[in-house]
Parts: sequence; C-alpha cells; structure tokens
Amino acid sequence: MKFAILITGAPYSSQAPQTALSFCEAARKRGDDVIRVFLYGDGVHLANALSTPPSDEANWYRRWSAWIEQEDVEAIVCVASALRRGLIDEREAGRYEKAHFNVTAPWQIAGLGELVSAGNDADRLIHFGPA
Amino acid sequence: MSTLHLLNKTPDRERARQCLAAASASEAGPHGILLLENGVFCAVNPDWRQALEDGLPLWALTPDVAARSLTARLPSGIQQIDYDAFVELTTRFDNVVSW
Repeated sequence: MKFAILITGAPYSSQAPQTALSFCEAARKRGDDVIRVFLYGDGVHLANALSTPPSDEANWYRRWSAWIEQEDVEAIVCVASALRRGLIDEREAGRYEKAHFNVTAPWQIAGLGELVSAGNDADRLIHFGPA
Repeated sequence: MSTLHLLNKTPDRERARQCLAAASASEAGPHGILLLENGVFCAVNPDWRQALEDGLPLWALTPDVAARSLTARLPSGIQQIDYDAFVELTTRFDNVVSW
C-alpha cells in the first residue's frame, strides 16, 4: 500500500504531527510505503528548523526530520502557506532579500501540485488536521 | 464505495455532528468512524449512543482513549485499536475522510 500524508495542524497547538508520525511509523513497520508528506496551512510550522521546545518536551521538528531522513521520504512544505507564515528556505530568502532562513533539508518548499500528484500516485491520502 | 471517517473533534463541535450525520446516511455506504485525538470523547457522548445501537461501526484509538482517562467508560460496542490496526483499517475502506 502506498500512503501520502497531508498535515494541516501545527505542532504544539494540535496533535496532528504526533498522530501522523505514529501512523507513518506503523505503516512502515507493516511494510507499506509513505511516498510523500505534505505540509499545508498551519501544518507548515512543523518544518521550522528554529523551533526550540524545552528539552524535556517532544521536539516534533527533530523527530519528524529524523524519520524523514531515515525512511528517505519526500517532505514538501507548501510555498504559499510557508512564506506568509515566515517559513522560508535559503533560495526564497535570497529572492525576498531576507537575512535568515529556517527551512532546510530534508524539507523542501514546493507548490500545491506536489499534493495533487501525491494524491494521484498514492493508494490512500490521509489528512491529519487541527482539532 | 465504503468510507472510513476519521474524527478528531469533540462531540460539541459542528464538524462532529456533520461526521455522524454523513456516516449514518444509508447512501454512499457502508461507513465506519474511527475516533482519535479529542474525537474519542464522542465515544462517551449520549448523542452517539444511538449510532452505536444502529450498528454503525465505531473504533477508538487506544493511546488517545488512555490519554483522556476514558478506558473504563468506553461502551462495549466500540472497539479500541492501536496504530497498526489504524493503518490496516484505512486499507479496508475505499475512501478515507478526515473531519
């Protein structure tokens, strides 16, 4: 089975990143594929490399990034959602003349077309949204 | 076409009511609902008891039930499942809809 994952709930204000990661881990354990993770709307906050929660709390950025690298999954951040929320990679920071950037590998900023093609290529698109 | 509904909202929310109404409709069935996150509170809500008695398949995600101390109060007709069974459940239905 091929899964695509859509996350629209932000870490620390919704449970979506936690639920989605547990789902993805269970899917891989079963031998299913997760072909793409797509962050949209407030879900893009998950890709903020500057997120620094207290050390005794779950670090969802770090846990997700580690899983994506370990499983070699495509992790896409919607460009339109990201830029207006201050989520920006090095290339976009150059284009908009920003001094800093906070989206790095394994996350990639791309367009909504990546969600459409993930929905086409996967057997199931599972959406994890805010409560 | 069978549809699995994923509900993560408390029973007082309009989306929860819409989910129950959609899953209770005879058209576009059969339906099932998996309660997760705050959606597990629907399992102990009186408005949801009728759906259970009518035979609508209801599941609840075990870690979310336990995190909200609802384990002892869960009606016997609602089956608790872990994440492995959650994944398996999404493969058994043609469509998966999140509310």
